[in-house]
Amino acid sequence: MVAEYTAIVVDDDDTLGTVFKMGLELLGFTAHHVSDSRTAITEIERLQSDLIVLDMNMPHVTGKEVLQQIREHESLAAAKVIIVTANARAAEELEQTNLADLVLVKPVTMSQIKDMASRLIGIE
Amino acid sequence: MAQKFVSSRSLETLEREELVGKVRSLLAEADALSSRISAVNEIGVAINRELNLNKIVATVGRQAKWLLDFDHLSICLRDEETRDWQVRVLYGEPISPVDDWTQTETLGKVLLTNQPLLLKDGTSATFLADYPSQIMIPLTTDGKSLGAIVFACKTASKYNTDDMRIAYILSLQLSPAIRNAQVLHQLERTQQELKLRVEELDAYSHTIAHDLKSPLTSVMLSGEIVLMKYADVLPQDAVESINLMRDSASQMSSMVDQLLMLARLQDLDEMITTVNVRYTVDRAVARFAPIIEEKNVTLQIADKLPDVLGHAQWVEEIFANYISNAIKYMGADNFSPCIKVYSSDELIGDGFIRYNVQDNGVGISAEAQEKLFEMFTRLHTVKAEGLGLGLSIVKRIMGRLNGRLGVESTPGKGSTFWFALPIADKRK
Repeated sequence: MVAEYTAIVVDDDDTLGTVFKMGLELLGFTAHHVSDSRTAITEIERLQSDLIVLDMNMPHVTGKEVLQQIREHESLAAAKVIIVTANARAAEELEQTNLADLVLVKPVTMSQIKDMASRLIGIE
Repeated sequence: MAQKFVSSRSLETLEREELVGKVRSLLAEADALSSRISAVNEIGVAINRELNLNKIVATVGRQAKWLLDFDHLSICLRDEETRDWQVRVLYGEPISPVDDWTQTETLGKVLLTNQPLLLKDGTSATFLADYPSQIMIPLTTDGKSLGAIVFACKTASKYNTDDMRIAYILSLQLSPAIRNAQVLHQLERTQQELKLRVEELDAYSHTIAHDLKSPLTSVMLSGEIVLMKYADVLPQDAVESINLMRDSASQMSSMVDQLLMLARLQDLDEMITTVNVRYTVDRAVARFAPIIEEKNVTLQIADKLPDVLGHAQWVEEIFANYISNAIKYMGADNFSPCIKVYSSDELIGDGFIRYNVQDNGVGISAEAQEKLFEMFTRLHTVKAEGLGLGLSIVKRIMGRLNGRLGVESTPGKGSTFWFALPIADKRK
């Protein structure tokens, strides 16, 4: 796996954010972690990430709002977004909206991340 | 001579007239008394229809005026919350508040002794000082003191013992009515409190379960990452330790899922729709794919799986629970473990269809069958996973969907877990 793909994890939970980052790095991504949802969109744009892992449950700017911002941004049209949520019901509703490329319900496993990475980005 | 005759005749007439007069007035008195007693009974009927305390006292206030012609009517009852005596004026001028009614000369005495009071010429008490005529009747039920009812008039010598009797008869009607109203009100308040408590607890457990998922994910993912990176170079016991941690985290995750499922069952927003049973079976089976392969279980799923009226996720949960049980009770020496999923209409009411998950495992004794669907039951032979809520959740789901469920089993021959739901009529 070549480290030519970048991923960014947006999660206010520092521990979980770090763990996701480590998992993505293990799969070959150059990964970053943003814990403040307010600066998320700036960071995502700056890094021009191929993959965005977004936690729904965040204070200040919610996951849903960040998602909207991403979709409204022209330069990020090609970015693949994976939503991570603890709420199964919200996951169902989100799947209907088609705003995310993939919705995962916590707890998430490495095989799920690996699976989605290969599906969305085509690596490995 | 004629004169004498006339006077003796007049005397008789006079006596007779007096007598008739007296009888007439006695009859009139009796009549009046009986009318008053009827009136009391009417009031009794009116207030016994009511279960609301305010309405009861309002009725008394309105209808008793005819009975006792008072200038003031008030009722003394305990405040629901503070349990202090309170006096509520139902007719007449307002009164000045008093801290402790038991200290008052007149009413206080009535409250403490449960004896009635009749005043004709005024009182030295400050309470109702301007009212020389007063009747106070204690209100009791079952020996318990509820309070008292107070009639007062600004005219002196207004009330006599007959009036007191009428007031007493009225109190006999009033006391049980007030007691019932109070008890009912207390029950309603308790019910409200309980409801709020349950909602609070539900919200609480839902939030906790929800929030636990993040740290659980961290633990599980970290475990995986360490093994993926270093399994080759780690000593075996380190790998074992990490796997033990992962197992525990996995167990916790199951418990959290069960808690959340329980919470969702309470949620009235969840809707009942047509369920594609085939789809739910496939999804349920998919959850157990690795272990089905590992244990070499033969899975036979019938072709005919009609749609039902229910909730897709919950029906999936039932199948998952039943399949999980079938796998658990397979038996260590079962060489061809087999699970069948099929529908039938055996012994089911009109419009219902029954779904069965049958295994050829060790079976369940009649005794154990009885406790199976209760919460926290785990059979000794099987290693427990999660909180042991599985089948009790299934029972709750069926309760919510108005379906039925059960198990048929013979030890040594296997079991059939079933549930029944209304068929989804495509014509409707």
